[in-house]
Amino acid sequence: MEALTLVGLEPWAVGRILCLAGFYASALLAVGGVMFRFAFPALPIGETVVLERGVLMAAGVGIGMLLLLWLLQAGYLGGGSLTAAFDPVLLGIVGESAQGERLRLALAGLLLLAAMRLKGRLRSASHALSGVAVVLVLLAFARVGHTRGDAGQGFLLIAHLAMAAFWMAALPPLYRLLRQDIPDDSPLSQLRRFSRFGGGMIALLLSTGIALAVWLLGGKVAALWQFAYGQVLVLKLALVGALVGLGACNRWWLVPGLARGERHARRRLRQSIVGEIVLMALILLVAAWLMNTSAPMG
Amino acid sequence: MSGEPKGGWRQRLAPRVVATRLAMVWLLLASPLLLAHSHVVATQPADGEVLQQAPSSIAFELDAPLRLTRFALSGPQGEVPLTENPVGGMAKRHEGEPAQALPPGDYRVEWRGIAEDGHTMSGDYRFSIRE
Repeated sequence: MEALTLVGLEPWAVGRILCLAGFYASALLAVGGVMFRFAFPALPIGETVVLERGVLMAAGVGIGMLLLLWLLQAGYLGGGSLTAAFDPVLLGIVGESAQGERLRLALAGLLLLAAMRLKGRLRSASHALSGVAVVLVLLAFARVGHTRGDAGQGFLLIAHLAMAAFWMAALPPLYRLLRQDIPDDSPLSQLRRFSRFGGGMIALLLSTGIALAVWLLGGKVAALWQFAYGQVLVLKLALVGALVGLGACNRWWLVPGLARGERHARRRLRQSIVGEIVLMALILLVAAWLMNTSAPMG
Repeated sequence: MSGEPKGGWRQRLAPRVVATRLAMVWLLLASPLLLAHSHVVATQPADGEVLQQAPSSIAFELDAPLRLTRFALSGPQGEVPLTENPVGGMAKRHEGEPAQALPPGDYRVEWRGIAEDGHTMSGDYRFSIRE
């Protein structure tokens, strides 16, 4: 029998996709911000403060999105009404489901991210607690959907998301560094450092993404055009291809141009980073759409 | 550059190291395919069926358990109440009995629910009762 369509194009379904994309964006920005903070200890102090505030803000938005998503799920499951969104029975059903588990794990992780700001003698604890927080949030993603019940695929998803989060969270601070008219080579040194991380990051991001896609498509290439899931996945792959292209352009053309002191290199890099941010946002939207689409696996 | 391990990343990103890590990731692909989404395997009455008399119950069956959150029957006179509220049950088969006699006309059964993996699902089917 033909695969079911999980989502109709009704306002509640669209609201869930947008809210899920908002949760993805904020949670990954928060998690990635912590990873970036510890991977770039030589960031200017002012930039570190902005980054930490951004992490806390993203974590707060992520918690808000999670709670809103809870209401939207109950509303959708009850037939698409405001009464259903606040129905204790439906809210309880969502809370007891895998989605409730994601909510609790992500909530705990996002709250624990505040530990990143511990100073002084508690600094070592801040590293450990931040690490736990990052794992909790990423684990939350793997506890809902196709990866639930398969530890191997769950691990792949966590690795995939960790790399995506790191890349995403690196863009705003790098953009800000390029906007500032700093006389030394601070932006350049941070960009070079990011470029060095970039090789392994993109390799892991793509390999885990391809592995997950092959699994979700049931190993059938034809599923890319025969199923709605495959078609949406093709859209995501096209966006990822454009994103990787921009990253490669930065790595091999714009950053070396900045190092050589070429005119307009700084402006072009800023524009390229804005392009990456826009593509990331679109990819998250498509990823949320995929989460609400039935995969042809099995 | 301060705070950067000397030569560490170059070594970690050496082609052989990267290839080994990629191979480890790909090995995980060997895990069996699991947990496809539920699919409807049967409905009662059948989708599109034209009946000579009203059915005593309506039902649908999936190939995997689903926790039902909505099960609604609507006909020419609007929504038809069921004798028991079926919401909340986790099962492959969900069934309900109309609380009143069904007059001739076109009917639609709509259902929604949440699967074990947290995915929300919905579906509907139709049948008719001839005069």
